[in-house]
Amino acid sequence: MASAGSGDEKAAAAAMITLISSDNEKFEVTEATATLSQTIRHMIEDGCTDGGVPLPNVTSKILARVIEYCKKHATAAAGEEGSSSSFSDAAFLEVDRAFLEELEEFDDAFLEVDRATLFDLILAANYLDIKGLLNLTCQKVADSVKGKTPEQIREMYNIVNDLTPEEEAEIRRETQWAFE
Amino acid sequence: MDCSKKRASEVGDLPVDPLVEILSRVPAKSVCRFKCVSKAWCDLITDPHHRTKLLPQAMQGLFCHTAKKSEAGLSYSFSFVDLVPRSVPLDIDPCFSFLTELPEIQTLILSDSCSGLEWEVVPACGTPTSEETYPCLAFDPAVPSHFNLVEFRVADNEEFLSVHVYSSETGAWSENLIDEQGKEGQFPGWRNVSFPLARLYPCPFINGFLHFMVWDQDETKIVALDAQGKGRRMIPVPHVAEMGVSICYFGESQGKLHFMTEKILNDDHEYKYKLFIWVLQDYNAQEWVLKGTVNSHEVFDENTKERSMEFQVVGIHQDRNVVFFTHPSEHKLVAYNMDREELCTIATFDDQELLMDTARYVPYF
Repeated sequence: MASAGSGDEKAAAAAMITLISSDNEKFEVTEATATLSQTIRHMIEDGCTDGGVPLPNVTSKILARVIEYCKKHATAAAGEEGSSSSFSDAAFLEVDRAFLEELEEFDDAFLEVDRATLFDLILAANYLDIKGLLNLTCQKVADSVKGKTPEQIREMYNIVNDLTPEEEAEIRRETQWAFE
Repeated sequence: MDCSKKRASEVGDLPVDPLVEILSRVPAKSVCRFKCVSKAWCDLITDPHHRTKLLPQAMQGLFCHTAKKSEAGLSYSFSFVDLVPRSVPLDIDPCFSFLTELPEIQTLILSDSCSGLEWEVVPACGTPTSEETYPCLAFDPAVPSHFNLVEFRVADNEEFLSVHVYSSETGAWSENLIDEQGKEGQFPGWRNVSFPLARLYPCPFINGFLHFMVWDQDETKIVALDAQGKGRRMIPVPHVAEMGVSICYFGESQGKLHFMTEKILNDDHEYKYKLFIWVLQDYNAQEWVLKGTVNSHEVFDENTKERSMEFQVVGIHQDRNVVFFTHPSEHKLVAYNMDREELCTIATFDDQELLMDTARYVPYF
């Protein structure tokens, strides 16, 4: 089992994909890492990744972070798959828990970024269609806005209130309960 | 790049899709408040395309009202069946002690439930009578500032006696609407139909209309009533004229009317019971589609075959293809997932306990 597993890894390692950021930097990643992105997965399936995958919406700074995330999560996914058949249920759960804890720590550390970077990561995760990363980053922002007042939201995100006082009063009247 | 920047300016710093993703993870109460942030935020939140995602009102479980036989007579109690994994305690007392402890309340019945209306005391409609009254709630979670209640009174012979509408905006009951003929709709008037007392189902509020079943001559029909109590249209039910077929449930799921019929199949002297689940796929064309069937002998254990094979439908899940029913001889409340063809016991009652009604719990925030 163990040797077959490492053989598979070697085979996967052989299939490398080149990602090209908007500022023309090239990143070599394994197919397993790249296919965490549904967008890239479809490109690979359609056979249009020869000569690299240009990502004109993602800067090298952000792409490096995205790849860091995908590498970690691709390893975790491979670990889970490999272990499921060779461990008893109890042992598998133990390994599973260790993986999850490690991933959680990684995710927490990963989110220690400024707001502009966080938003860029959301945009990249949305564009590349990476569910886990989109979930992680959106949840972070969601946690920071929940319970806030509309005024606080405007201040946080530099939003100009273009509602007329009458319109705003009408909305407040309709959703009175939400302000209580 | 340019393109994404332009779009980004639409709603703060983010284009629409990621913002919807973010807001879908924010409690509904906050989302409602954010309608006041700006025009763009308000449009985004109230857009019907996003509403189901942003204000999902997921169903959390079922309130059950049970009666228990004892030497002292019947005693009633309420309980809650959780349908979601829960990390925080339920935010509502499932025994409704906040209501039952009020001195003016003697008995409490579950007659209807809806998403996200906090409890409210409504004055009684007229003087108390011995006739049966049936209240139906017209409430749209998208317009949570008000609701209407339609109450009909029905005589023993199933004739409609009166129809009144309560509006939370005026805080008053309307005049008796029994003689309203519903000029605009196909509804022939209250005096031409009767109310099947033997079958009590929820009155689903969909598309701004309350729906309930009536007898129209010898046929069962569904009447769509607007929130002002005016009959608007009559909807025929799926074809049930066949021998041995009877109607066993009527309700709402996934924003659509659902209708269930049952049939007892006499197969080699072994009685089998089959449930047909219909959905009103196209509301305007009144087109019913058979969504699925459930066979009792496939769903229940071999051991139960000896006894009654009938199961009694008590409800349908709000967002999933799940039917809830009880098995009378087993004192169990079970959920049947049609997609996965999976049966799961969600509650077990005492031998002496009888399930009276259930109501969905769908919190708003």
